[in-house]
Amino acid sequence: MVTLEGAISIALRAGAISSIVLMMIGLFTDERLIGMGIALLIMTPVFRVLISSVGFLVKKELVFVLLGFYVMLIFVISVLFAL
Amino acid sequence: MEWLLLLGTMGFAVFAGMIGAMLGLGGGVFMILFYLLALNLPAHQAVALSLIAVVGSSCIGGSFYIKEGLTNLRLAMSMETFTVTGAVMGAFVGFALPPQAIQALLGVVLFYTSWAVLRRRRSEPCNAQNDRLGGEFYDMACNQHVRYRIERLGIGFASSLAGGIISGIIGIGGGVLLVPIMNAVMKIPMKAAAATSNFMVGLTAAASAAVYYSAGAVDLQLSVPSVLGVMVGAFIGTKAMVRTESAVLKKFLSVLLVFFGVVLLLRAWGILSW
Repeated sequence: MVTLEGAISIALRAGAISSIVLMMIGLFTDERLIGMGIALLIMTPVFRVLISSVGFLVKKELVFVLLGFYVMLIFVISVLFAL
Repeated sequence: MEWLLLLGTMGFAVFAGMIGAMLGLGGGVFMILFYLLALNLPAHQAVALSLIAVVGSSCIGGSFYIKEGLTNLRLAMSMETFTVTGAVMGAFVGFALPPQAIQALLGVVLFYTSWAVLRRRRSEPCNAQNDRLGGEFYDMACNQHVRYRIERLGIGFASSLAGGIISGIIGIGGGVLLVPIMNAVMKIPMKAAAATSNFMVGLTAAASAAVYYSAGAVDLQLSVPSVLGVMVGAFIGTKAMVRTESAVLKKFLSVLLVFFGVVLLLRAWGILSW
């Protein structure tokens, strides 16, 4: 059984490694892959907030579920404003 | 793109990622100085690359620290609501206030926090009664189980907001403010403070980095050695941190806070500009 902390650790590492692999391939081939890698890297901390919220939902700690969704909402709003 | 430039950037990024992960700062301020002073990049490009590097450093450091039980997840999620809100507010406050005044104020605050961290000479608690946001971890350096509780939570939340605002205004990670406040004011042991801050700065930086990325301010080719370098550095830094005594980390942090304070005062006086 994977703990919440374990799941977050795996998600962070998987996001970071996948993004740098894409970026390195892009350096030698197509620059668009670098862009995709950066986008994946930026989304990784948001993804771990999502995992945290789901984990706390399972643990029935609703305060932290709400805090997680608030953070994701602020993030989405800031990105939408930037576009 | 010259290979020497890519290798030099990567080498410096390893250093920045290592120090950033060890002390929970993210390493952004080192990268900004490198981009501006060594590579002579325009300010917005330097800030954009630096923010992306902080995200990379935070992801690698965060994945290790949370697995080791050093990161306080509940505290991080509580404080993040303030740092992320602050980062968005910072974009608006930055236009309303003279940046020199903000930088000079932060410079003075960093000198104070440096003194406050060093002043707290008594040993850190190792068996305090735990509360809801408190935590515990195993300190490998002194071979003991450390349990702690959080004090002055209100000041911590206010500092998180301030850290986020500062991050939004001048593009450095809020960790430089958060770590000393968490350690000296909220009485969180240095290692837990550094690990939790490292976890949080990634999200704050990601919110700002998304804005810069959408605006096309990121130099794609330079981003590769920067991110690769900070990730390697963060990996080394996390391994070094768990084996280093808290007292050594605190002295190191104090020296760096004075350095950052000088940098910000130089910015306020217009000697450095970005």
